[in-house]
Amino acid sequence: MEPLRAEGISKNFDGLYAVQNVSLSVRSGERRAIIGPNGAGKTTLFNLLLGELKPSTGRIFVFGQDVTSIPVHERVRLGLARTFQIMNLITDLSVLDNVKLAVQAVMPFRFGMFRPQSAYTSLLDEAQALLTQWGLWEKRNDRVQDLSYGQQRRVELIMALASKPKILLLDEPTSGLSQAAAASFLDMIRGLGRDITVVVVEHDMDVVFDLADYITVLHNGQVIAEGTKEEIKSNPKVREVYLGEKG
Amino acid sequence: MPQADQLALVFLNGIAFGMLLFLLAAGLVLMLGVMNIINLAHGSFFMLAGFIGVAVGVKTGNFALGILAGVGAIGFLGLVMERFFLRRLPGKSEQVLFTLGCVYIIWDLARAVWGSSPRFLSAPSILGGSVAIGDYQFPVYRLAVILFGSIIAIGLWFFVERTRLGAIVRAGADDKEMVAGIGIDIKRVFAAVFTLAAVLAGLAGVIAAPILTADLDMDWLILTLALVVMVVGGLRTIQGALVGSLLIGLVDSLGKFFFPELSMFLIFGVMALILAFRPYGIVRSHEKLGLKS
Amino acid sequence: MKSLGSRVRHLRYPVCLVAAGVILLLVLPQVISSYYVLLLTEILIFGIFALSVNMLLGYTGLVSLGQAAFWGAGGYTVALLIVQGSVDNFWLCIIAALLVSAVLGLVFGFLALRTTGMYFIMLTLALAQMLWALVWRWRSLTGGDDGLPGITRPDFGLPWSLADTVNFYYFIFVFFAIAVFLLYCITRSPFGRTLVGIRENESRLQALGYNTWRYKYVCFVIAAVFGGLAGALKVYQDGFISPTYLSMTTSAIVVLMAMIGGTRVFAGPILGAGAVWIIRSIVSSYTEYWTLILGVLMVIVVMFAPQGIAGYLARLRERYGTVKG
Repeated sequence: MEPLRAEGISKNFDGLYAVQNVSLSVRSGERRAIIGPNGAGKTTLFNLLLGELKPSTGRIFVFGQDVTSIPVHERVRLGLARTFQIMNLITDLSVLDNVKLAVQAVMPFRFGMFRPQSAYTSLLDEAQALLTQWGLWEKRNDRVQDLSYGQQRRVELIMALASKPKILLLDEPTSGLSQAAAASFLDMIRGLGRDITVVVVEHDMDVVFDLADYITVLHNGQVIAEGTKEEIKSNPKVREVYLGEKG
Repeated sequence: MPQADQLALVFLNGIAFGMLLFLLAAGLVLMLGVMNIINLAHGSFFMLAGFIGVAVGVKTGNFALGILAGVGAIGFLGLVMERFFLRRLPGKSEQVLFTLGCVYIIWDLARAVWGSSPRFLSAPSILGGSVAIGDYQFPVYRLAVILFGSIIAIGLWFFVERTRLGAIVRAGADDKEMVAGIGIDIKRVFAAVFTLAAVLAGLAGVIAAPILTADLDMDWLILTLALVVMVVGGLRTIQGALVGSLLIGLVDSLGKFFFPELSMFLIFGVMALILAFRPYGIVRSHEKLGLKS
Repeated sequence: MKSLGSRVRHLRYPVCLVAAGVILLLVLPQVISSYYVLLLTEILIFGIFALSVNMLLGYTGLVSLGQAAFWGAGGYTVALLIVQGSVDNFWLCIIAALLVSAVLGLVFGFLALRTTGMYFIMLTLALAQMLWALVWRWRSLTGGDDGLPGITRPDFGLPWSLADTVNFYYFIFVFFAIAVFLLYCITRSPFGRTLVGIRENESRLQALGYNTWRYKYVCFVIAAVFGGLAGALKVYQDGFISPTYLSMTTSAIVVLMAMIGGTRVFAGPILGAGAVWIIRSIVSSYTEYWTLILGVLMVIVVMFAPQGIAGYLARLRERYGTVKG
């Protein structure tokens, strides 16, 4: 049972097709990259897979279950998780509060109204484990907006991992990061076990070739190529589309 | 058993009232679309314009001057409110609460100046007199209101659907890049739209005076009706405002004729029904690009 | 970085303050005139109401301009039961008021929460106006504009008559204390913390797996129930009810109370209720333009002090805290 499958999905905005008849199937444990030039429809496809947008046609399956009309938060319950490209943390709260919220989302007591949150020690334990694992425990009481950009990205990832997802969707995770920060971020991703399937929407070809097992190339909302690094590198259509895009 | 001419009268009254509501609702729709705020003082604009219009109209004996005074005063008030206050407020909820404060300020000031009894202004003599419909008489003035409202409706529709500024209104202020791309200062757009809406409300207020009288209770009453219109007709389009206004005007008129005890409640009943099935109104507007609303 | 020392001190400060406040509230009625006791009673009742509104406004970020609907629903339930239904039992009346408010909250919440942002604000207003219109029109049941008089204080057969101002004050204080405690627990709970997240960044929370609509809905109903409780208590305080309970002005005043006191601090709305009510009693004795002052107050608070008194105090304390250590 593949973790993620899209069948012929399209998204139509007032007559304009942002995504047209895209099908893809991601295998368990795979590192898939979705690439394409600007305006290729990567973000739209990403949002469709997540449930932020509803497809005009086609269907999406998570572990064999049809999720096409299922809202975002329910897809998360099925094992999906995402990071945001534009910083989307809860800026006024501390790092710890952010992570606690993330961890709490999949806890049975998330609707608890009478005991204080601090009474649920498993929450703090989990959050501490995550923060320590990714090296941000010392920063836990700092406000998110006071962190460096690279650290914020790490918090993003931690929050996505808090729900113990089986499918992780990353939206241009290294954009805006320095070489070093990007490299360390990629190390983090590589460090994730193969029990998590990773789908990355990316612009940066180095990241893609470094990380991905399999690559889907979009252009004008359609899939123009799919394959391994070598296949994509030598694909003439891909070369043509990227000509002048990246030096 | 109501006769045909009675019904015709009720119908025409409803349309006339609907036109007044449309002037208000259209302004609210424009402001919502561009600035994403609800101006709760819109009813107050209506009421204040009515009082000013009546005062000037009665004093000078000139209806047109009354309209000018009312519209001018309210337009100016709107401009000041937007330029010096609304613009400075950080969030949408603060802006709404500010307009709410203005409601109370305007109300008490109006009460201080004009007292609590309603003021009457008679229609201008050229539009005086009435037209016979069956056994009944229908005031020419109300026909003029219907005509005038229709002209404004067409004009607004044209403005929103066919002009550059109208395109901005439709796209909404969300699309700041597009606005900047056209080379228009968004702040000017806000000021213009707010003032236009205020002017429309002021116009409605003075025009309404011969029909409804200028009255301290008007502000909430008319704002509530305008909000109901928006809920029913949809909050994004001029067409929706027109459909909603005419519908509510008719419901009000028919309600007062058939079930006078329940007329207000009938209007709300319609609103609740629409809410239950179409929370964003009868008239759908084009889905915004990529946004989940 | 906060050290353990400053953490502990952070806790001790509010506890002292709360204890002082409680003692003050218990002792004051013994030393002030009955006019002020009356004022204080009303402040406590409005305090409950303002806290309920702030669950929506301050904690979830939802601006509802129709909370008077629940205050009025609670009030009219009690009034109708007593005046039209000749029901004497206090508990029956209160529980009925809570139930009616809850049901109303379920219905209005369901309708209003199908929308967001400005639409939501508008709908809450329109729905409350709808209820107002219904009550106002239905003269045979509700007395219409004239309202319903003749609501006597509950009689539990105790030696202390609740018709006495001071006794009634302590009676209300019990409800106030319970309401404050319950709402405080809710704000500190996982549910409450999630509301804050929703206020800050709803889409983020959805992406984490939270069904944010459900949280907002439950919060709406909670606010409705506590608003209904407050309205019911107010009816016993006043001895009569009129459609003003359901008016827009009531909805506006309670929002103002929350804002003046400070929406981001739990006790803010209580302070705000006190501030607004005291200002009102002072202003009303000098001029008949209270409405004007209300409007001006709203404008001033919104433009210059949106964080309110408590917010301002909290900022002062932060600054003071860093200087100390």
